[in-house]
Amino acid sequence: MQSTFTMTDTILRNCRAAAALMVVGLFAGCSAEPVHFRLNHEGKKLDELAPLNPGDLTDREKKQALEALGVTEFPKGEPLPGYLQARFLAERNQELVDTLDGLFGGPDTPYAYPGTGLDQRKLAEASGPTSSKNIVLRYVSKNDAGKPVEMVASGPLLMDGVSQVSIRDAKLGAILVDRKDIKDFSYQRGLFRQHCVHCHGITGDGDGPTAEFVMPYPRDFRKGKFKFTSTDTPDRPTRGDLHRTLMEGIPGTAMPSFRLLAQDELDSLIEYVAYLALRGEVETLITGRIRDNGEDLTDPEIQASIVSDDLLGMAGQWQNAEQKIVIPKERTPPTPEQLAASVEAGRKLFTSEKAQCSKCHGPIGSGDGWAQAKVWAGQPQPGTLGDLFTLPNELDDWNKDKVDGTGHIRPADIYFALPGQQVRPRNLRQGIYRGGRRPVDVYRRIAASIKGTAMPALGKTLTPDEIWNLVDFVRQLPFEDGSDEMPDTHSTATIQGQL
Amino acid sequence: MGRFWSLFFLLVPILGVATFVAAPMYHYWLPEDVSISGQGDVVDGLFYFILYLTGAVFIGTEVVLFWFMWKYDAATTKEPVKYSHGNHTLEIVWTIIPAGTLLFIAIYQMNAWADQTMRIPKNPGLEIEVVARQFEWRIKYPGPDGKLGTQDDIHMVNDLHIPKDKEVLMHLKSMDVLHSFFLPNLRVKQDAVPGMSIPVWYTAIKSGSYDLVCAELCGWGHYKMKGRLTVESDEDFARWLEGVRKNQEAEQ
Amino acid sequence: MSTASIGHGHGHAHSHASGNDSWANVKKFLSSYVFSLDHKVIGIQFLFSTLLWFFVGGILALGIRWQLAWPWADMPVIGRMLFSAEGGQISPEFYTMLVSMHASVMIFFVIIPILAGAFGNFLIPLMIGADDMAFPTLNMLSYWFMWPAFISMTLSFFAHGGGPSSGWTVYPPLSSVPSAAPGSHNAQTLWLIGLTFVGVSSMMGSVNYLTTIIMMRAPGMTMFRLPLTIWGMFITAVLQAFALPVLTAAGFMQVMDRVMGTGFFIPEGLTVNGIDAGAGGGQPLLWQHLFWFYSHPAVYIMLLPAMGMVSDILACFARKPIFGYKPMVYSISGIAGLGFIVWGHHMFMSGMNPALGMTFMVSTMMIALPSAIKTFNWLGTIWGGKIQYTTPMLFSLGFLSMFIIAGLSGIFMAATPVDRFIHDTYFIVAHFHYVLFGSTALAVFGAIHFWFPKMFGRMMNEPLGKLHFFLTIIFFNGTFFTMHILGTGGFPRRLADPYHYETFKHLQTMNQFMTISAVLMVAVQVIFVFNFIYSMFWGPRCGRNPWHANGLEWSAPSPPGHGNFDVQPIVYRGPYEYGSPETDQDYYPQTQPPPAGALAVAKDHH
Repeated sequence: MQSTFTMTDTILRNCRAAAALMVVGLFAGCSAEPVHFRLNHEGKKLDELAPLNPGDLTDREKKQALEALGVTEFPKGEPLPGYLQARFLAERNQELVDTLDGLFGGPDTPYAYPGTGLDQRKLAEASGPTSSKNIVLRYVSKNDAGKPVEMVASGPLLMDGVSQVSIRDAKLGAILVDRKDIKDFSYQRGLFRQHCVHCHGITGDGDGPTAEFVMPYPRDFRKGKFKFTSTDTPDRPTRGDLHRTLMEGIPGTAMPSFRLLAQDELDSLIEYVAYLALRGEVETLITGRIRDNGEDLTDPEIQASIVSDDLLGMAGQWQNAEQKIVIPKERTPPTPEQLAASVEAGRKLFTSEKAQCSKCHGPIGSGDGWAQAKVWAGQPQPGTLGDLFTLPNELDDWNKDKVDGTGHIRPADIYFALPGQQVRPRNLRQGIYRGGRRPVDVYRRIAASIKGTAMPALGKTLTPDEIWNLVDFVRQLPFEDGSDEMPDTHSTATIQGQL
Repeated sequence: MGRFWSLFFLLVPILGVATFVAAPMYHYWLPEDVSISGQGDVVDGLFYFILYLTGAVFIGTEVVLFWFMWKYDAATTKEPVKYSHGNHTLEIVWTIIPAGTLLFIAIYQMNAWADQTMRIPKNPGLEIEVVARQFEWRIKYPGPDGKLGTQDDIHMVNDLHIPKDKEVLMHLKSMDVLHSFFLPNLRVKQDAVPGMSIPVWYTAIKSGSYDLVCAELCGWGHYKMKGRLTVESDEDFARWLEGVRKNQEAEQ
Repeated sequence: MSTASIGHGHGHAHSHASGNDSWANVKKFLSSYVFSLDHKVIGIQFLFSTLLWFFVGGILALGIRWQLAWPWADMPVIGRMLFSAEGGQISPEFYTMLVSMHASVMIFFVIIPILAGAFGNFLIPLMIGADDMAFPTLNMLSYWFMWPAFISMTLSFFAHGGGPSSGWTVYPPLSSVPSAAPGSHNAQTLWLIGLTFVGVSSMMGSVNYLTTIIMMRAPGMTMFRLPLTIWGMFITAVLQAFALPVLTAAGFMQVMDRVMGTGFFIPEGLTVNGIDAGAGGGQPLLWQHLFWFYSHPAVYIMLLPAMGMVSDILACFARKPIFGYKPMVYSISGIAGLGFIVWGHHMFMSGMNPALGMTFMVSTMMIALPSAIKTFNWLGTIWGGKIQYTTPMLFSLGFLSMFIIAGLSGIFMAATPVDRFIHDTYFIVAHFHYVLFGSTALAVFGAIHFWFPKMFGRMMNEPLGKLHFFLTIIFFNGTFFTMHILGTGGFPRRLADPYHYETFKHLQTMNQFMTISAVLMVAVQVIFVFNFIYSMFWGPRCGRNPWHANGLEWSAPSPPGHGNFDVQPIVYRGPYEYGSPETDQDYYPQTQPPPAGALAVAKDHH
């Protein structure tokens, strides 16, 4: 019986392969283009500050302009012709792409630059098409000058006894590589594309296909900032923070829990998120070099500086995060009376001038602090006509730039793919804790802030005991009178009668 | 040609029966049932009863169809056409018998249905709350105070543990849209409706890890709304629950 | 349309404008072929439109099958077009859109219009001996009211956020709260508007059919001399008239929930995806009751005309009367009547009062009875006949064979405790595809072959027709029979990737087999398309009654002109007098006067 099963299976599998090849061959047509990361065009674009005047051109650009125009001198005071501007912009973009590719590779061929602390094997696992059967390999190739250069590419699984491998390189396309030139390889499983791309986008820019339909938007990793971490305000998250987020999800948002994935899958995804974040931060730095300083990326000195200052410097911050964890003050488990006293102390602190919680969270903690302030100030309610963002806090760091000069949120335009989105202070009576419901998590929200938002870090202004008072108060708030029945089901919906 | 077509139509009952006979042999069949006697086995038993009954009718009618197609082929039959407008007695017979059978099947199953959905257990071994949400299952166990809805409740996401051999009474809710709580290995399914709290009860008798599937279209992530049901011994369950509770109360 | 398709009538006056000839020609063309009031033209307009939508629906289904066979593999053709940022892999909401629109298109734009709109329109006046429908203008409007629906639903594919993705059942809150799914933004509103137009079109049609059948029968055509096709159309029209208003009202209510902030189906205090869902006070279950109150009769709307047509074709090619004509009529009525009290069987797991599970189980079990009676009567029809294996006959026998499977598989889900397991699994999908494709669609193919000579005056090609039947039924079963097995395994519906569940991992091979079968099934329809188009222009011409059938329509010219009949038909007997001893021929048309001296008395055997 068993062998028949295998035989049928094999037949079907072969039939499937044949039919798949037929169908795919019929429809797919031309060979597939590998997927690329998208450049960060948020905010000011690269071309806004492209040199307009010949006087702003660097020597290299002047040389190219002269060659292109076939003249020996520029007329003074005249702006560059449009086509030259476009060409310079295209070249800049290409240099930026090449630099980033060289440092980080592509979505199917991620590269862990030595010294960044990223794990190449985990990156490879998370990369590539869903359920990929490829490998990511590092091989030695010769560049134009004949010097050996390390490249990263993806290719089919390595079979024994095969001396040459046909791989797809992002720049060179399909090439043959001798097995002896392969330095190492790791298996690819397409985890990120399977689980994350849909919301977070292929570049980790928080602009996947579903992003515009969820509130709040998925995280844009490229700022290197994550809201719910165990580290202090200016610091990067630890791997453990990312792990906690994946395990628990973020309740009250569209980020689900990935608890049921295997541990190695989670590790790979976490590594890949850190990789995307690092890449985004380095991209911002390099873009700044081009845009603000007019630096020439082809200059070897600039390249070395990019690696040592931008890349390794930023990577170092990520590696240091483990040392920057906010550890709450230890306390003996409070007795019921002590707990009640702590809660009362926390209640007083909540509305006090020292902590100023109720300024945003409202006098009873239902998240209406700003709305109330506006009402008292005679301003329209949020979301009504004429609503202006007089409080800059209403936009988090990822949406801050999406406000135009008059204070209105910008719709999606050429600068931002997603329109601006407000943040609101949490309704603490619902029992929804986005960053985790453990006491240590709530402690960290109060002490170390929610990064990128108006929730401040009170770790410097409050004593640890006071913070614990607030934690105790907040945690029992959903169960006080006035909170919804069964508040932490998050569903306050009710139906009368049964059909 | 009539012979060819008759034999072609004969393939229907042959291949039909062959498929249903071969499927269980190749494990393309009902998932393993790990529920207590009186739950999943009742469903399976009814399924098999209907399968055999309809199977018999299927074979009978399809073979009759083949036989008539073979025998009354215009090209080969010599008999004149039977100019008949029907047969009253036959109509009565083949009305009463199916009617009785169908009515019997319907009434016979009422008890099982009541057991599954109407007789809410008074003293379940464990009472929990499961809230379905786009796209995960949020589970709540009563804490040390034994009551659901208090501050010491133990929260978990997607990872549903229950003790073996204990009746579990679950209050199923939804936070946003319609979902459906489907445990294939316990033959349990119930839609989760926002605004309603629907009781669902079941008992598992075999330790192991089983799938929890969402069975009502709830958005783009419907396919990944995966939960895991872990059935374990009382001690293991208590240990696990305590571990979750401790983690939930972690101050470090 | 070729000039041979619809005769312009013999001797009917068309005003020939003496002035501007080209404008007059345009007007003539428009009034003859586009805005015609002739029921035959309208029927053929419906036929062409629905066959085109059949193709669209089939392509959507292939998308579903692709994803189920090779999840997340690059989708052919559209992968790079639509999903280049993710490397060509389909997005999950696109998959939910595919399942929703495949069903919507097939149900509302193919099956219902082709049965009621195409065949109902074409056949009813011809078969009852009338010269046209009771309300020709209303008839024309009922076709053109489909076009806003076509446009609306097409636009919904391109709406912001993608096409409607809450299933064809559009259960709120998923469908009525825009933040619940990307496809629930404008697309859903457009879909609901399209649905309203379909409903209005159907209601217009049903009023027309009821009036025509009741009031405009030829002399001698008593109700119990009507062919079963007409009975099927008649009862279907009753179903549409009584059930559609509920759906239309429910559709309005949901549009109001979406657009005007009412809360018919939204519970108080609901928040979806971080956004408040708006006014509350409603219940999601209310929609389910209203929707299924229509949609269950709808499935009988999608079946009864086909059953009627199959009865006619079986009797004709078995060359003997239908077995048990009156029981057949009572069964059709019984199916329709019972069809109004079984809607809850779609909602056994919905959270409605469990006691209703009991009542609906009984009524649902009972509705299998009339279908069983009909099946036995069909078998009795071919018993003792002289079966001619023409293409229409093969399709009708295929209907019979597949309908047995469809009906029997329904009994599993009528059993509420069993439904607890198989609800929302592929067992259900298997069942309704066996009814809608294996039964209705095969009957439609057979009916097209059968009445094509009457519509266009030419015969379709027999060998091609038989080849089409042979291949279609093989690949149909290859695609859908194993769905019963999948459903037994608990394989759920509407899952873009079911294989990450341990329980369903091993079922991928079976799905790949089904996908290949499905692709071949769709490919094979090329034979039918070729046959249809070729025969329309170059098929062999035929006389009035190429099949030697009894119905009134066969006494009209092929194709009939305006007004249908040369002479006023008088009906002397029922439509199934094949093999009658009163005549030498093996058929005895309804309009043929009885032998001299013997008056046509309505005897027991009609």
